[in-house]
This record gives sequence, C-alpha cells and structure tokens, in this order.
Amino acid sequence: MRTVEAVLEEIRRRVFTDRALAVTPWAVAVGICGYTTLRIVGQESLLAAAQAMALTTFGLALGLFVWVMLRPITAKNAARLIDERLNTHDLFAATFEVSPNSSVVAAALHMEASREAQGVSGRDVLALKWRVTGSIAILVTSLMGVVAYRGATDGWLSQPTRRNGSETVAASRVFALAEVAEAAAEATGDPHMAAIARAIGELARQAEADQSNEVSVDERLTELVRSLERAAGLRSRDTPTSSLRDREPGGPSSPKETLTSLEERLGRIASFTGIDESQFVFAEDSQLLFGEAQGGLGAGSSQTIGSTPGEATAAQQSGLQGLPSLLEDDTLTGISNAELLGASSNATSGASNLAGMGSEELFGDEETVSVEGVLAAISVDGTPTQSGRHVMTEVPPDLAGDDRPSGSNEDVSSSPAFLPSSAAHTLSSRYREAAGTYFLPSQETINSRTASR
Amino acid sequence: MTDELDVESLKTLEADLQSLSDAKAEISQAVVGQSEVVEQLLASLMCGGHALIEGAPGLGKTLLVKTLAEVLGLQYSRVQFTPDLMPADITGTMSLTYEDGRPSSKFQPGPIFAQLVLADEINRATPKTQASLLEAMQEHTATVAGVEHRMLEPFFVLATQNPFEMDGTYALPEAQIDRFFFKVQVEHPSVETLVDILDLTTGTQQGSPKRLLGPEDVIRIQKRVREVPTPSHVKHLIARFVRSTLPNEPSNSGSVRKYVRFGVSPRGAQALALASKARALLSGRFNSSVEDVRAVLVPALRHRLQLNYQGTAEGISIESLLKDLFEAQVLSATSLQ
Repeated sequence: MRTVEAVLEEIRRRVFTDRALAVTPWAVAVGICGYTTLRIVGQESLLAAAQAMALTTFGLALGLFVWVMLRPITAKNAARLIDERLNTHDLFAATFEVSPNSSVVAAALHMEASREAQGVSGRDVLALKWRVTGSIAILVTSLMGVVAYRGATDGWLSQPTRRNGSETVAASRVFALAEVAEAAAEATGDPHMAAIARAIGELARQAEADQSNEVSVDERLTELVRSLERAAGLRSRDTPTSSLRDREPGGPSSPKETLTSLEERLGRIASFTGIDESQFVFAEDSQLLFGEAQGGLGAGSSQTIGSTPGEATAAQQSGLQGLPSLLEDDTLTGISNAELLGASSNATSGASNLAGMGSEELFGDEETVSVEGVLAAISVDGTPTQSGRHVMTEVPPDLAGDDRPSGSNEDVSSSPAFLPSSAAHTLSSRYREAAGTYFLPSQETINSRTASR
Repeated sequence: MTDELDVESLKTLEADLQSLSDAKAEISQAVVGQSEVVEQLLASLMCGGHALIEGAPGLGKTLLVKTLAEVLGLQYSRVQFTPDLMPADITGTMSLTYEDGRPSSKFQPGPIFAQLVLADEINRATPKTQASLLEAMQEHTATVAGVEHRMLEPFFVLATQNPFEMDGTYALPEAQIDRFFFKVQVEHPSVETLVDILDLTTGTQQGSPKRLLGPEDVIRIQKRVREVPTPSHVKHLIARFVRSTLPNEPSNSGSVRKYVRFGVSPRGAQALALASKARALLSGRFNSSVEDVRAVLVPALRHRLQLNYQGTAEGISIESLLKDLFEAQVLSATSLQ
C-alpha cells in the first residue's frame, strides 16, 4: 500500500528529472556554443571538446541549482502539484499540513488522502517529455558546431589560428621548415640559407621551450621566411618585406600556405643533394631549369620545368658581360665558365636601387661589389669552396635597353650544350633587365669534369 | 484520541455529512431552482452566521427560510419589519401579570427568541429597531429592562430586503451590514425551473419537507466546520486577495483605487475562510480548497466591499470586481512548474 509520503517522494523525483530534461538541451547547446567558440579561437579539438563537456555539465548543474532555488522541490510543493494536475481540491496539500491526530476531520482527511494516493500515477501528475524548444536549440547549435568543426578542419575557419588576436604557426611546422631549409642549404652549399635555417630552427626550439608549441607570426619569422624565399629564389631581394599575414596578389593566402610553398621549394632543392650545383637553373616565379648531371659542362640534357631555356640563358648573358674584369681570384676560372643558377626578371627596381650606391649587402655575409655603368652589383661569395663560387649580378635600368652591352651564348665557350644559344639583345626587354645568380666553377672543378668526361 | 473514539467520531462525521447532503436535497425539492442559494444558506448556518437575503418579492424567500427551519428542526419565528416597529416588538417586553391576585412583572420574549428568525424586509424598520436586532445577532443576547436574556442556540437571523422599493426604507449602515455573514442574492428562476414551480405549487398535492436534523446536530456540525483544515497556500491566497481590495494600497490595481470606497475587512477574510470550510464539508470533503473559496467569494464579500460614487455612477459590478481580483491572485500563486 502506497503512503502519501511515498507518492510525494515519487513526484519530487519526477519533478527533478523533468527539470533535468528541460535544462539538458540548453546545457548541451551552451556546450556546443562553447566548443564552437573554442574552435574558432584556435583551441585544439580534444581540449575544446573536454572544455565543452565541462561547460555542459556546469550549465546543467547551474540550471538545476537556480531552478531549485527559485522553485524548491519540497514535499509540500509536490503535494500542490498533484492537487493541480489531478484536480483533488488541495487534498494532498492539506493532508501534508495537518496531523491525523489533531481532529476527527483531520483523521478523515488523511484516510481520504491515503485512498486517493493509491490511484495517483506519476505519469498522470507529470509526464516526462523532451521539450521541442530544447531540441531546436540543440539542432541549431549542432549545426553551428558542425560548421565550425568543418571550418576548423578544412582550414577556412581556424587557419590562420588566432590567439589573443595574433596568428601562430605550430612549432613542429616551423621545425620542419628549418630542417628542409637546412637540407637545401646543404645541397646548395649556401651558408646564408643555412644561417636562416638555423635561425628558424631556433624560433621553433624557443616555442617548445616555453611549452606554447606555437610560433607567433611576427616580424622576426616573417623576415626569416622572406629571406629564405629570396635564398631559394622564390622572391627577389627588392620585393618589399611584408608580413606573412598579408595576402599578396597571386601569392599564398596565409602563413601556413607560404610555409608549405617554401617547404616544397626547399624540398625540391634538397632532393638534389649530391648533384652538382651547376645543374640548377632557377628562373622567376619558381620556374626551374636544371640539367641532369652528366659529369661536366656541356655534357648533359636539359629539362624545362618553367620558362623556356632560351629566356633563362639570355638572362644569364645579360649579367655576365662585366664579370671578367672583376673576378680576379686565382681559384676562379674565366667568366666563360660561369653557369647560370637563377635569373630574375623583376630585378629592375632592385638594380635601380643598387646603382650608384657603391656597395650593399645582398646576402648576409657575402661581399658585394658595385660597378657603375657595367653591372649594378656583383655579389661574390666570401668563402669560395673548392668547387667554385657564387656570383650575383644586378643590371641597372639604363643598361636594360638596346644600347646595353650585349652578349650571346657563344661568348660562353663552355656553356652547356643543352642551353639554347641566343643573343641577349634579341630577347625581350623583360629578360634583358634580368639579374642573375651564377656559379663560377673553379679550375679544379672544370678539370675534374673534363677528366670524368 | 483513541482508535475506538476515532472510529465512532468518524462514523458520526460521515453521518453528519450524509444528513447535510440529504437536507440540501430536501430543501431544494421544496424550493425549486435555488440550489445555489440553499447551499449558501446552509453554509452560513453551518458557520453560525446570519444571512441577508436580497431578492424581488415573490421569489420564495420566506418559503426558503421556513423550509430550512423545518428540515433542520429549528424553532422558527418571523418578524415583518415596518417603520413603526419598535425594538421591544422584537426583543420582548416586561408585562404586568397577576399571580395569586398579586401583580408581578414577567418577561414576555419577543419573536427574536427563536432559533431561526426571519426578519422580513429589515430595511423598512427604523435604525433603532434595526440596531436592537443587530445587537442580538452579534451578542446572541437581548437586554430588556436591564436584564440580559440569552438567545436559543443555534441562533440564526435570516433578513430579507427588497432592492426595488427603496422609498420609506432605512438602508443598513456599512458597520451593521458587515455583521451579516452572507448576502445571498435570489435570482429569477429560469423557464424550466418556473415550470417545475408551477407543477409543484399549483396542484392538489403539496408535500411538506421532512425534518432531517436537529439543533444539536447543527451545533455539532458547526464545530466540525471549524476543524476543517485550510492549506497554508489557500490562507495566503485569501490574505493577499483581501489586501488587494484596499483602495489605499498603492500597489493595488487601478480599478480598486479608482472605484472602491471601502475594501474588505478582516472580518470579511474570516468569513471567506470559514465559509470555504463549510462549503468543503457540504461537498463531502474534509479540507477547504481554492475552489471552495472561489465558490463562496461573492456571497461572503459582496456586501463588505463598498464602491465609491464614481464606481456606482459608472455601474461597476462588485461581483465582477471581486472575481477579477481573486483570479489575479490565484494566477500569481506560486507553483512548481
């Protein structure tokens, strides 16, 4: 036989469950909103999920707490609820307040309430149901969450990741870039690139040391990446240094994309480790010409990846005109042995800047020589290797016209046979303005090549 | 209270409730179509209160009171109030009598010394006479020649007044009208009820109502009424409602502040709570509820709330005002959901 107290207790439990059911969807919605927000501000997904779950639990507890504070689930209130729902004319509320021993009427009241309690069904008093509004709230916030998650996953929402208003790149990513750059520097023997790679690696190490594991995309990283781009031939020296965050027309849209592009480029360079530097011919806009190593100059085949080999070669010619009188190092061979490593067609402004300035540092430690009227600048590697030396030229604008010293491929007697022969003055003005990076092999290199042939 | 007594008392209680139900049915058979009025009068009697019955002539007010007296087994008397009625005509007088040839004064009780007194057209008597009746109503005593005489118990006064013929009448002052527990309004019967009345009263057979209760039963029931518990939220509801009728309360509704002259007094709140208990017992329940309060709201308070001149001029209905104020309080009552 159910007592009135048992019925009241059952109703209290149902009221609490009903409130939990009412609060839960809203708490979940709050959690989803929290998760969405955390994903947008760049929290890692696992951390965001944990925080969202904590937020949901907290929201549920808070909602229930406030509700219980405002509308306490007492036995008296449960009795009133039964009276309201079952239309029992305040029978249970009155029974709850009087003792059966107080009067005959009170005793009769308790007997009546006990009789009524047998027929009280918790479901009739309070049917537990899932609220439509809660479902809508969950649906809407779930959609928001899915959009946010996909956005974060696909990169268009959380990339670049933002924290406290600044962009960051994962330290591991920066490390990877430093490693690739180091490999490329080793492959090309470029000490400048190696220095940049070391500096980038140091940034990543600092990020790991302070446990943030993220490198801020600040001026330092931007400058290093730009320098690396220049060293890899992705960017001319005179291109204004802009933040990695700034989008450039036609360029990568984010720091991560920039790094990806750079990694690919450096990876390609590094993949040629062990191949003679003379095989690399860099052209503008990542257009790469390279000859497969065949053991010496003029002996090999060419493979055009980017612009036509003729254009690149012509660029080479325009920069070589003044070299013989300047390069007096005994270890170096004549200019006729110079090999084009890279040429830039947009060097005009840089050359213009350099003209008449005497000397300007081009690549860190490198020595720079400027000869007005002949070449804007010739950069000579200060530490020649046994195999040869890097030389960089800039052509002044006034030499970019038709009256500039002209040259032809025939001037370079030992020019690789695969390089097409064309006079510089026959090329379009674009390539006549080109600056170039050359490799001037040492006599020893030439001798070894000849011997191997 | 032992179990044995409990069982006995419960049996008595159930018997009383059955008697009340039968009495209600018996009176309603005699006074056709006035079941609500019958219930209100019974509730008033169960609470030991007096009632003021208002209605047009010929609606069966006198019949109702006589039937009530017969069914309840109460000693009945009737006083027709007129302007020349004197207090002594109601309360009684000292008369000179001769016993064994010797003159002596003896108290001659007036018609008020009965258990159920019908004061017909009370507003036709002078205030002085009215006051003598109202003193008896309040104190259950009558003082004649310096001697106080107690009324018979139970003692009820059921006064009637005609709302139409106001010429030459003396309207009861608010202080005195407040002493009536209920003001019962007798309405015109419907067509169907009227047909029943014609059948019942114009034929050859006219049955007389049966006596179902006695004065002792009535007194016991009166005690039982006071034992009926009222839940605290119902008491709070009554208190909030009574406060909401006060025109000087700034937080009260605009209609109260605009149209009400006097709000409901604490005596009104007592009447409301007690009447709701009586109504619960009449309905066969052992606790009063919001529903009971709602049912007795108008008869218990319609004569305790006074409209001001503006309210009267604009034809504001006291009944509607009371109902609106009460429902507003019910709505504002807290609930779990």
